[in-house]
Amino acid sequence: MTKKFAKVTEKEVTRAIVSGFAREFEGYVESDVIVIGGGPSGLMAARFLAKNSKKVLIIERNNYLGGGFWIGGFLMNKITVRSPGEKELDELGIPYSESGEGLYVANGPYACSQLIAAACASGVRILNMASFEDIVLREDSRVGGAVINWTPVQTLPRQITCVDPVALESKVVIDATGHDACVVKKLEERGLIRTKGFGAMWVERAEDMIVEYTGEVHPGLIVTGMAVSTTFGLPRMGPTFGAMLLSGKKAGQEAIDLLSG
Amino acid sequence: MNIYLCKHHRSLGDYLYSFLNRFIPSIKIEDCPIPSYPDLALKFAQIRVINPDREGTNSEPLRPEINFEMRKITECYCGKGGVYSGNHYALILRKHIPGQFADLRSMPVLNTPEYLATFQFPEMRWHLRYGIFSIPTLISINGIIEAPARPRGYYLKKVMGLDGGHNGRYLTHSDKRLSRILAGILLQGLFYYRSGNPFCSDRNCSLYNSHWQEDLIRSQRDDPHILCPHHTQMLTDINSGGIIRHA
Repeated sequence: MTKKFAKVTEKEVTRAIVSGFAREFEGYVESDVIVIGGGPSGLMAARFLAKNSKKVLIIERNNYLGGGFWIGGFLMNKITVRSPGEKELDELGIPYSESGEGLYVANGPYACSQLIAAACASGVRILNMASFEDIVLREDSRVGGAVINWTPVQTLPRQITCVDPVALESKVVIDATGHDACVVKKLEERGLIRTKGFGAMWVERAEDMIVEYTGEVHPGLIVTGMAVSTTFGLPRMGPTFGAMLLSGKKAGQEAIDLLSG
Repeated sequence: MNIYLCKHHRSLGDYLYSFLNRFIPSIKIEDCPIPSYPDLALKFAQIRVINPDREGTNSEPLRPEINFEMRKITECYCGKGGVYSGNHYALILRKHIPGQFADLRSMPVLNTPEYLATFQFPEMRWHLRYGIFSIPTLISINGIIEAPARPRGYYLKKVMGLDGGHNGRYLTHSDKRLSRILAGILLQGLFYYRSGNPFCSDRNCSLYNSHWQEDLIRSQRDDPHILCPHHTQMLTDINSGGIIRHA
């Protein structure tokens, strides 16, 4: 039988993985922006920043990226955006159809994979299977990075997993962790901020408000996506994603403003 | 009556003037003065309703919330935020813009796109309102569309994304009937100032306190009458300086 693949041994495969990962990880121990959460808003923010030549690292606790963007409401894999969200779909090269006036539908898997690909292509680096554990605080309680650990460590009993986390530094951190608002909640534990929890569903108002309130909530910390809803007590949104895309982009712009300020 | 209109609704001014002038001898229509008061941003941020089932409002606003209110005031895009406590909203205007909003004789009415609500104790939850009858009286343009309820089925369909046509049964933001409805609610404001009671139990009177969309649309028409006979007489008494006879 003719061999189609190059002759490579097991140790060389292992060495390629280790050295490739270590090189990249070391390079991102310090970055311009760390985005916690690789859902649609986090990916949009990271892509925007990377396209503007910023060094960006996404921390994603799952193996997969995209969060809820793979699937629309009720486990059905059609995602909807309300106008002007379709402009973001255009920019990302995601095909869609008009379902009604100002309402557009796209295939979840196509949309999500395209967004991930666009983020990667713009230069975003991703650390998946890594969970946010704590924040790094600087003078005057300014956020200066994130403390992370491997996700599997968190799922095992503590007595057999006394594994210390590691800290990564950045000038800005973006909380894109969805309703959990993990980063903001860490500030709340320290009495530095008070979140308000999300309200009842009100699709028409919620999207506008999430975009409007996207911004810096504490020195060095920007909140985006559904974490905005939890932080400010905004209405729930329902299964529509335009605000996630626009909020992410706005968070990216806010981060650039902070970095240049 | 001094009617303050948001710049986005300035085009309604002529219609409102000609409609109301039949009932009220002195009407002044002016621009909303709030854009000149950016310092009120914190106050407005503090009265945003957070939880529809909890009486308190947003007592400790974060910086982005105050910034948002500031943008809303100065760039004049009220109605893009959340829901605000209507009574507190009126109180802020009365206290901080007294020249326009605390003068009872001028009967100030602010027409605003903001969503306004009041907390109702038997149900222990916030309810959207189209009008806050106080000094000043506030009329929420968005509240006219959203506050009077539609049947339950309408909301269920909407949540499921089946927001199909409803043949004019309910108001929309571009509805041609809005100007007439707003004029009728301004009459409610007039009766609030003149008699203390803005409402009437006649389902065809413009003073009818409509809790349902269809009631609002039916009561705010010129046919069979704009005001019921009792309130027509009452208005005659008011305008002639006579004694107000309550029903």
